[in-house]
Amino acid sequence: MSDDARDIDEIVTDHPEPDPAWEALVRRALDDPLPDDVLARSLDLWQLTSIDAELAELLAEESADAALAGVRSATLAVTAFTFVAGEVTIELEWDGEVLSGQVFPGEPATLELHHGAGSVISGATNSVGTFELTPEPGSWCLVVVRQAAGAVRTPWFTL
Amino acid sequence: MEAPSDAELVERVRTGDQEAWRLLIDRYSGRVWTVARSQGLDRERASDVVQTVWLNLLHGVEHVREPAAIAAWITTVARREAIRVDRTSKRTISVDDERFDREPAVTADLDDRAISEHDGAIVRASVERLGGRCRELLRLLYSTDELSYQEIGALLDMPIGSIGPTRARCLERLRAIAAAEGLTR
Repeated sequence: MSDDARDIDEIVTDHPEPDPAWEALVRRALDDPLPDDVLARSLDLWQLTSIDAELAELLAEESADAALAGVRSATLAVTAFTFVAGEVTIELEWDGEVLSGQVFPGEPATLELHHGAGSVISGATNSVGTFELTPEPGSWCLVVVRQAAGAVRTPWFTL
Repeated sequence: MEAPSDAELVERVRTGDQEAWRLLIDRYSGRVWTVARSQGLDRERASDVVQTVWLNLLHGVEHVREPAAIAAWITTVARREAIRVDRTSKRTISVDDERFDREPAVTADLDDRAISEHDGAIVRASVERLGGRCRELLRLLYSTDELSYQEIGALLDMPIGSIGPTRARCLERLRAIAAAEGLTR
């Protein structure tokens, strides 16, 4: 007899209808409504659809477990993304703490990192087009790059 | 006026209708919350799961193949995401956190079945100790935004006929654990 079949036999013979008073008590104890602020944050996600920037496409994604030099038995998971929209390429690299990247062409750019929860981090590229941002780990995010020629944004990705 | 169907809401979200988004969020966020909490996630992590599910939908709404089946899609994504978050974070709920995090139970208008916050905390801690399928099933069945037998059957890939007996067995196990924890009724 399979485990499932045995389980069901046991259930049918040993477990009659539950005691309604106990069931009612459990229901009251497990009363767990959705918090209002979670609902509000979900509604706010809509605002993110109106970010005025051209959507870039994910061209490549790579993950590698690179050994951390000088640190015994430690590994560092590095994830790299490349996004392209028209003439603009955005390269991102995430090491678990810092999101570093580069924008091509390397004209001055301001950056916004939007989190799924709604918070935004601002930044800018340096003289060679590179930048570093520190997102909240585990969160969905997207990066907007604004240059004189226009704005480009990545799709949502998780870190 | 009749409430719009799920399929209609999805179609409207595709065309950029913010009101349809609000209706969809109102309709299903509670269930996503219940599914996330049924995996034992604390409130912060469960809140992240709710955001992730909606972001997934916003991001991929044009790819939804069966708008009428969006409810099943939402709860499935919620469960998968909650399992992923639970595996990666392994943050456990402490009983104290649960106890102080919540509004005190209102007892004034309840009869002899009224539940004290003390008893409630014991039952919740006992559900966490149950773990596994029993924890998941009891949370799905008894939370504020509970799922129907049909939804639970589809979500857990469980024959509907076995949900009732499993529920009874889980309630009995829970009672034994709660009694051992000092619950006297």
